Amino acid sequence: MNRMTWYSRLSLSGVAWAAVALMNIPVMLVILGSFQTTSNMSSTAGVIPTSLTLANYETVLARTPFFTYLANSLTIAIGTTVLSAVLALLAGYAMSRYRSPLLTVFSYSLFVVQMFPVVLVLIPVFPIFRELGTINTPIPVIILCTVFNLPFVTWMSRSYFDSIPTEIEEAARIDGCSQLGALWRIVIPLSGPGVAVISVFSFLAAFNEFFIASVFLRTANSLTVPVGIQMFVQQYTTDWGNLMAGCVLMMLPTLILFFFAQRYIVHGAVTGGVKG
Amino acid sequence: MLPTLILLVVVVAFPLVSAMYLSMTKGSLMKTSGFVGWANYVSLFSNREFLSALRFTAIFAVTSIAGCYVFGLGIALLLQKTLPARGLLRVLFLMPWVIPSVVAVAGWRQVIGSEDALANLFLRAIGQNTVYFLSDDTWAVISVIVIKIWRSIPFVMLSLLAGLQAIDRSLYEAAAIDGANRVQTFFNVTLPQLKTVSIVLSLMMAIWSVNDFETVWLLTQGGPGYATQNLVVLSYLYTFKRSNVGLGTAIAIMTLVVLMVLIVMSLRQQRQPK
Amino acid sequence: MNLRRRTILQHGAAMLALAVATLSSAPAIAAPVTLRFWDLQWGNASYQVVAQQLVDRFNNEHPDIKVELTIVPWTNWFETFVTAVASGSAPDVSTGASFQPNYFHSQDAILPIDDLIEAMRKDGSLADIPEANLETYHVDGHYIALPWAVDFAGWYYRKDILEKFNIQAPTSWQELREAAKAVTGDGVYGIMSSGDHDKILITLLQNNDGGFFDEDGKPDLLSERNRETVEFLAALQADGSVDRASVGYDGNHAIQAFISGKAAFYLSGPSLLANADAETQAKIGILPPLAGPHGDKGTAAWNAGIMAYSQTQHPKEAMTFIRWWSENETPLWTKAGGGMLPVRASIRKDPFFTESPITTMYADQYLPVAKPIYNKAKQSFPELNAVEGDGFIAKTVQQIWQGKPVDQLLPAAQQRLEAIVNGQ
Repeated sequence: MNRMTWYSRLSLSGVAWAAVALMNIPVMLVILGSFQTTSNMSSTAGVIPTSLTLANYETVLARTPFFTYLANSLTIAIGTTVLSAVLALLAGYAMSRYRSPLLTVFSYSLFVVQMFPVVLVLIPVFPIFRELGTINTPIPVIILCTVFNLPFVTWMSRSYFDSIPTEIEEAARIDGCSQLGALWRIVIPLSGPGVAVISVFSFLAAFNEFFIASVFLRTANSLTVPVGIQMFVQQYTTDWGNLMAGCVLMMLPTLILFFFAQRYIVHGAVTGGVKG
Repeated sequence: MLPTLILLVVVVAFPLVSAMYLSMTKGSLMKTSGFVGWANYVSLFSNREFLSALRFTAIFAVTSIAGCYVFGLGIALLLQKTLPARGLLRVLFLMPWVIPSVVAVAGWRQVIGSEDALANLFLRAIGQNTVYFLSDDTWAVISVIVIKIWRSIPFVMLSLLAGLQAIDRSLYEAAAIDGANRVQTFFNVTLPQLKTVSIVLSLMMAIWSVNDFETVWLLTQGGPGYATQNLVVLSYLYTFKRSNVGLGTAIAIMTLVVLMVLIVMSLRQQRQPK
Repeated sequence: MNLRRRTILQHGAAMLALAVATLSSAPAIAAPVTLRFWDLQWGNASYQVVAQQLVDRFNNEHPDIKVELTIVPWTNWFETFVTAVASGSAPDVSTGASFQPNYFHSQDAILPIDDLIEAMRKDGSLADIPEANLETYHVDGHYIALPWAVDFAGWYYRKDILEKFNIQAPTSWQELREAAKAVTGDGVYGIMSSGDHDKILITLLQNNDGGFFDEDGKPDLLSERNRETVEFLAALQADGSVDRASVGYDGNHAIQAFISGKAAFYLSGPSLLANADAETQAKIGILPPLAGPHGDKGTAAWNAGIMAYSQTQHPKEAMTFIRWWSENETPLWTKAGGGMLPVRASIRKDPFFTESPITTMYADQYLPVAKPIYNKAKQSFPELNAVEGDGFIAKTVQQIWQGKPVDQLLPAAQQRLEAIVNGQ
């Protein structure tokens, strides 16, 4: 793999960048739009803007409590990621290593979660969370987002665990590690790419979540960014300029996070483990 | 496991039972009025809107799963190579997934939404006629599918990339010793090793594309006419807009049962001894 | 052992309850009653701030009541309300659009405001609100909401495009069709519309003295007048006058396309130009109500109301707030670009309205000929909410713009309408 010629590397790079550019056309139009005012956008017919402005960003940052929204969103996203990852790794590991009827039922019932209309879940559980005094706090959103993430993250971690040979853990067990210890010290570090994928998935799903947050969070101080920026949507019109600026600002932390997270998607971990 | 089970009971079993009950009643979410047994389910089989939604949902699911899998795998294979600025590329490929759907659809409207949209500028530049992507039944179906594929590629790509990284390198070395060429290695080593991840991935994609509300609703609201109205949109319309929660939940539960049968069947298949 | 433990627990619980009761009862006398008020985003980006200032003013003037404002975003707004009521967490008071109060009333979720209306009738202040608007929210002998705004659709036109072709502003359907056909060409169209433009069909049906229901409230889409109206729309399409991309636009993009000069005519509400710059505003005018083929004039109107929910613990305070809000809400227009027209004649006397040609046109010419969607049936009914929410009206419009055969569209729509009225 590493013995690619400079020629094939260059042409593959070309293909990759062309594909990225093509896929990102709609995204680039949104970013361009965030530098135009809504009335400017309307009065020019073409796609290419005539003038650029920072006015939308000023409005979003100065006239909405954007950083409060962002802090709330990050709390919910990080809480969901941690909770989802812990539950998924434990359950996924059990599903990968053991067979029992209970596990089978559990693993199938996870899919049901994903297929269920959110609103039919929210109505019966809302009173429970209200009795617990957790309305307008991140807790119900974190819990429900975690539940809705579980099917994917659990099954994915199971399939990544499946690709790690059991001999490695058996060796660790012989060296005196407990089952959980082996999972924590040996298996999880080896499934780095899988952990990275399920974390990125959980984070993004919770960070972009709208409906659950809009039902449980009702005070200005508790809103998340996806709900907060909906205030630019009016009865018949939408303040696109501001909405797009809000979205670009909202994407930045995620992109920075992803840039660091993608380093964990590195190959060769398993090979190293088996041979070392 | 135990906390997960408790969560599932509270958040799944409880609502599921109440939904099953709702699907056998008349009335709305706020005020049900009377038990009707299986009547809602029976009426669906003669409901033309339901049958057309069923058809569109199936087409939408099959094509979008196939599409995003092929493209996602291609990009994953590409990004596995040691290319310059690979980290940056990986992040840029995630963009369609990171961007909130309201805005993603707004971006797409600028590509296909009008006569002066980017795609039409391009078509006219190469001497083709203007296409009214969202005004024509067939083109609207194609557009919704393409946008769904576009939004799903990053996530499929990322999952497969992680799967690719976990493949034991010694398998490739063995294949090289056996004198396998690239194509043979791909079909005999890479694809079989990705099998577990791919099955889970396609099951999740099946669920997500069958239950996709946002792409369809934001882009076409099920139109033009009934061309892109899928089962979730129909279930939503009945539950909320038509104040008929019985029919709305009956559609949701029918969908769930069909999907569940498909899922159990394909997982059984996968568990069979190699 | 078990028994003793239980008694101890019971004693403990009783003492705890007593302690809590003593602690909480003392300040309860002085503490203001909290009202949860859900308002929708009726104006521009400043709306939340302006609404909060109004709420603060109310709270200052009423030390015994504390109103907590939540702005509900338009995305998923209807589900938000349904979910809240169904899960027992409805607000005390909310604003809402169109037939929301009628529908929620039929679900036992609304607290009637009869006493408030009676009090306002007695002190004469009810005269400020037109009887027609009140009647929409007068159901089963109860007043279920106080109308505070009214929404219409009227024909906007591009002065610059008509001037370029030296065409007079149309006064009838026929002139509209001719003008639309004349300006179409070179990427400019006569008529702008969208896939969710159900208003165009509803308004034109009313305009031509047709409508969805007959005098008995029965679905009546197959009438001669209605067929004529749909044929008129189909003729516009057949002329090539309607932007062919319309079916795929949503309302937002249709507005954007109209404002950018893509078409000469667009049917929209009073809020169309709320966010446009001065230059655009100067280019766009509004036509007086057009005469239909038989000379009828008319347009559709939609109420917006403010209502109390039956789940509220504080009905008296809710009524106080509803009345105050309805009397003091002028800044929602003057400072926050509120879209619709105020129901109260006194608010419409504000220079903000009298100086704008558009609101003046709506108030002077559209308001007198405006009729609600149930029109001939004389009385509103809860299913109207589903009629508007169902989507079949917009789907009919989409199919007209696609050029589908007209003779099949109305029977299909009639069938759907009958199903809705029968609760299916």
